[in-house]
Amino acid sequence: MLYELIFDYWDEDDPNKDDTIFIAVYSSYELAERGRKKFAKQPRFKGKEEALEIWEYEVNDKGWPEGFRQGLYEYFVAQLTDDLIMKKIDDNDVRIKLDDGTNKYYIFEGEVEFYAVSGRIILLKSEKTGKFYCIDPDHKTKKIRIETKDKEEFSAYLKQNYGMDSCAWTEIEQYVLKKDLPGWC
Amino acid sequence: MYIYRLSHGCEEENNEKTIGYFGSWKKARSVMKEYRSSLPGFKDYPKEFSIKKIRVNEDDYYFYD
Repeated sequence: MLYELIFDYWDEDDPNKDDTIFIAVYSSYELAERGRKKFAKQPRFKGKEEALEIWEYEVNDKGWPEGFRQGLYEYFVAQLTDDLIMKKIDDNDVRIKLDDGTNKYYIFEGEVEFYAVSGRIILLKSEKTGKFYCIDPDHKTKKIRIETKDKEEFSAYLKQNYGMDSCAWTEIEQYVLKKDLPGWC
Repeated sequence: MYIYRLSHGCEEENNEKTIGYFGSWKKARSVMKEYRSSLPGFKDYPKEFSIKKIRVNEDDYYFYD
């Protein structure tokens, strides 16, 4: 067995002061504890002794066998057009935000699992609620142009108003890697 | 006595995590390859693994501010 001494400090008020560092590894807990007391007096750790932690490891044991997601993933976000972003806000609902360069405001919020984009038109579909939506962000007064559970009514509306015969639905994932996130602020 | 510490993440970004301590470089590397190819998180950031040879019970360091 080995005993790892690390410093893992998280500042609740200022994340810029977070500090994590590996210090040493020891062959016994007693040696690790002695090390902890020694390092607790050093400038970097003084006043934050509670962040000096001792962790036990079995040699050749593989940690994190399930992998990890924390800190890597956020709820799904997609840049629909230059000025439209769609984001999952919880396990079920998505929100679409319009940023016209002057103002940012939400034009849709609801439970949907699929979306399609055709030019400036956003189509949304929920299999859970059975609803279809057509969103036109450029419409002056009513951006949600249609909301219906009638698939035929929805198809007819798209054909009549936008010349659309069909659309390719994309499933809205639950999570996306943080490094792949478009801007959202 | 030396040991090989396999970790992932970046210490400067405060997200480094110890995967384990291994008796040989070969074993550490084998685990790294396994994790890099299949486990969520690790396979998404395959370049952030690190294997370091460390002397056990060596702690003659001083940490300034």
